[in-house]
Amino acid sequence: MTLNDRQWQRVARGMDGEGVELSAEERSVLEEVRAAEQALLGRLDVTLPAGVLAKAERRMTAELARPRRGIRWVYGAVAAAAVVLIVAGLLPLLPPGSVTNKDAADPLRAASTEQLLNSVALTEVEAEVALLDSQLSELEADLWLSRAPEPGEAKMDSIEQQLDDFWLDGGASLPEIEG
Amino acid sequence: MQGERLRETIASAQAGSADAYRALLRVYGPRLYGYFYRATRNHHDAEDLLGEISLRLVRRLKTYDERGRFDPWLFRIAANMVRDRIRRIKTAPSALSFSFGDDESGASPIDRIADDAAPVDAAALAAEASGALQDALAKLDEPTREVILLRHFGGMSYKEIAEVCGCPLGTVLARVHRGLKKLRVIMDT
Repeated sequence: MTLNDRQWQRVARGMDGEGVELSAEERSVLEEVRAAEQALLGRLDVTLPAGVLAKAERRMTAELARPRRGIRWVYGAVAAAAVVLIVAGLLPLLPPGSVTNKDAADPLRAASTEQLLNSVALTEVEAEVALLDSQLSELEADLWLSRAPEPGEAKMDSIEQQLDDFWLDGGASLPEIEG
Repeated sequence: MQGERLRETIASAQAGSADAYRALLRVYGPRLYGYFYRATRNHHDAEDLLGEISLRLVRRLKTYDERGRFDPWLFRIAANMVRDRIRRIKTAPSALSFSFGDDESGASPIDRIADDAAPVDAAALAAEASGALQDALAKLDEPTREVILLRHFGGMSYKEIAEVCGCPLGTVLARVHRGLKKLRVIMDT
């Protein structure tokens, strides 16, 4: 007795109680399977050893108690994650080098120390530059005062003096300008 | 437990009632154990799997949709667990359960030595017959054994078995037909 796939499918649907019109051959197979199933009925059943169900029940009871502990863990994990996120969000807002680590071996600490040294070094250079600048100014002033005034410069100084007197004292005549 | 009573018990369990969960385990435990034992041929594995499925029942019952039938839903989980167990045993032989070659009662070898001295009775004869059935089942290929066991213990329709096995409906019945025939031949000889 050989059925094709379609026929097996029809017999299966018949076994499932669907109203399927079966051929004599298909019906014969259906009866055969049904009889074999009946013959097996009860023979496959196994007696449950003592204590097995009770043991499974204990595991089940423990599992039923677990969710409450689980929820506490979930709350704890969520709180910890929130703290980490807040700290991570605030870090970029802090000035560079403001976060240090007490552990000397920590790269963060090493970096911040280096930054501090750099800032000190920059200040020293700046002070030195300022000192040099003031010394140069003094030297320039000394050189200017030490040299003899040229004739034109003296005449110009005299003219400036007469102009100031005219405007301040209300003098009658302005000094003559040569040339 | 059938119909309305089963629905109520499942609903209570889904609402978190420990008593309802225990009631479900008491009703389905023996059938699940039978399925596990026949599928693994080992009482230790069957006991372990029963404990495991009781945990999964707690974890997964909330996902059960009451519109579907409960038995196929539960035995689908059981079938997956058995497949997983067999796969692990095949890939890692050291994961094989410590077994002396179980008998039907689940008794230890020491218990069985004591039992050997006892006179033969009806229970022993029944156990022997069941042992012969177990040997016959062991000679079936795995997919065939699975569909026969799901049909018997899970009370599943062929359509539901086809869904669990992921194979065409006709193929399932052809397997069952061939398997049952083979079982009869083995047991008759």
